[in-house]
Amino acid sequence: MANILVGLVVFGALGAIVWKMVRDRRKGVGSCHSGCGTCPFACEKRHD
Amino acid sequence: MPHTIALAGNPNSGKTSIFNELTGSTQYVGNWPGVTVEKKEGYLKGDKRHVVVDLPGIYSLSPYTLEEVVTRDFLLDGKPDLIINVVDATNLERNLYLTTQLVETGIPVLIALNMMDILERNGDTIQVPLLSEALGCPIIETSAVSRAGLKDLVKTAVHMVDKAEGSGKVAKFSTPVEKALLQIEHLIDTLVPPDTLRWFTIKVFEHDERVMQRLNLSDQTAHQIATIIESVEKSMDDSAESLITNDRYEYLTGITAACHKKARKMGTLSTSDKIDRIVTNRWLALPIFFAVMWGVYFIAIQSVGDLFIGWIEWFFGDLIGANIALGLEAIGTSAWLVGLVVDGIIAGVGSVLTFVPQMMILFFFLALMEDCGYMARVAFIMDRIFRKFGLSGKSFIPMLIGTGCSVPAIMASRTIENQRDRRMTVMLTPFIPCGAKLPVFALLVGAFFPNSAWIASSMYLVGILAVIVSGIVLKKTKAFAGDPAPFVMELPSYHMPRMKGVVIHMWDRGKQFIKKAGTIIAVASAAIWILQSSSWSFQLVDTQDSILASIGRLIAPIFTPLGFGSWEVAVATITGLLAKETIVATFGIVLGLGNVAEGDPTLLASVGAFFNPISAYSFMIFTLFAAPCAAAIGATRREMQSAKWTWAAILFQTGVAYTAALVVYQVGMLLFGRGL
Repeated sequence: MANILVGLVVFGALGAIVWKMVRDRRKGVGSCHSGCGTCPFACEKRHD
Repeated sequence: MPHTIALAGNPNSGKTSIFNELTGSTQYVGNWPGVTVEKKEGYLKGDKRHVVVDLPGIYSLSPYTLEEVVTRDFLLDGKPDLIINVVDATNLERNLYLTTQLVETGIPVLIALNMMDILERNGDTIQVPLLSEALGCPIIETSAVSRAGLKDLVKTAVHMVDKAEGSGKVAKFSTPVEKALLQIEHLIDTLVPPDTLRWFTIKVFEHDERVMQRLNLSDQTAHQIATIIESVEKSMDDSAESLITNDRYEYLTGITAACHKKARKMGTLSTSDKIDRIVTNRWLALPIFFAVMWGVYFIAIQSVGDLFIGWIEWFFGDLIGANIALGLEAIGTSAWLVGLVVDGIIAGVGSVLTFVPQMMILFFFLALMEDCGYMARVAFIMDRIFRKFGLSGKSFIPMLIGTGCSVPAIMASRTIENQRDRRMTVMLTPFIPCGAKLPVFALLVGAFFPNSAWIASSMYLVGILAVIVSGIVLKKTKAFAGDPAPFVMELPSYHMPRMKGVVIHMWDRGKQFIKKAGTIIAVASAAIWILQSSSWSFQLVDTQDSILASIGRLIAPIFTPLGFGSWEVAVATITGLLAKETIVATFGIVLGLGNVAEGDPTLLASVGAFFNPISAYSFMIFTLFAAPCAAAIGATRREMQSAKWTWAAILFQTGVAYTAALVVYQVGMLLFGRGL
């Protein structure tokens, strides 16, 4: 039971991170991890 | 539909600072020209009826640079309701050159006379009412740093937009030029809106190719225009573009002579000039730069930054790791799941986060150096050196940005017009150590060179040397041959750093580092732990029999001549392609470094099994030059716009990394190997 619960939490969190990274990449923001606040160049997507 | 207010002005006149104050944004403010390449937008603070657009800094509305094209396209096609022209009061005449062109677009212009505090400190005066009268535009005195005048600026801007007030007075040129302009006006007045007619007429007179294409003139009209221009050029014995430039400056000289009084006599040096005599001195400039970088690394890595490391290690190792392990075991969780969480995710993320204090201190000093104006001098110094070897000084601005992250640095290369120089800059920019490589250097310096700050700071020297040597070699090839693009750069005056800006800059960079640890590094750590604990049939096995070990053993022989031929280090070089910090996370998991501090004998014992001081330095060199992380490779692909050139860049970088590391290890062993 503990394995199932802990496994759900751990793999659920890792899955959520991967899903968010893939989603961001599709949106065009995930390819750059320097952060828009730091970056002197407005990303193409930020104009949309 | 909100009204649009465009911010336009010369590079480094303070547009982005004013943009941040007007919109409440925290956009990157750099103290060197060319920070804003694309336009940025934001609503006026607390007012959704007005959008403010920050445009790239430009000296004129000519079509010669990407920044000029972006700005003038927006002014002509975006049709903003108002232009706030940010004018550096300490460089009045040159800044007003652009003002005269902005007025010609027919868009109402409000002048923000910025840096008035510096002007007053210099003892200079500007008779603002007289200047406003001469230009026909309202002027508000501002200081973006002390926020003086910004409320008035917003109030006047909103008032002008709401009342749709007209444009300023256009510059009057010499009689022959004005006559020619009048004739051209009659030929094109049906092709452009009346309010932009003056601007288009002048551009046609200047032979502006883009404008000519846009107007799509008939052959007959084009011929008539060419005859008019030829006649003036012949009678005045000068090109049309030069005639306009000279007349504009003559017009402005008349205005500024009446309004602007300078306290300092011609020929006397300002404080900035006096500092520059030493800092940019032909012989002293480079030693000073490397001394400064040594000092920064000494503070960031060796002394102050090191004080906090023990705390973070205690936090992740003893507090979080140990207690989570106890908790999971207490509720009956399997050993492998406890291992995944504690020895995988927490150890991997913790080993990277250990370096946050050092990173923050390094970013703080880099931001400080930039904000006070020193980094602009570094670009100037490097330009002098780069040009000697046939490289453009323009290439160094992306490299300065690359001290933080290679992704925006690679993107910065798009300001280089010459395609050959641009491609070369994209290929060479990752040679400058980015923030993500710092933890790798800090880890190995901590283990093998705990009292030598110069080892970590030497990465900058080695990086710059590699750029120069690679530049010389590449310039000899057909693909990159040719003269370097000209580079004109204005050195901003030195000023006291603005702590708020410096801290924001530091936090922005640091925040992304922490964010990455919580996302990509966490996932990579879990994957690495699973791969180092499982066999190909997904049975739990000893690390030496794991999937990771078998992959590592396959590629390890490639690195044996470089001094790090163990499978553990070989896999770290591969995981580093995901993000450079993953190298440290891989060491943290595979070598079990999660809990050891710099200078700790355990660290040396753990890492010492895989490196000696020479192979550690060889590994640092390999990490510095090898193909950058996935995000930077993606940026390379975007800027190169060619898969072939992207692969060429990756192969070139990895080739340089391999060769340099090979030379370091083999020569190092030959000279110092006996004592190891």
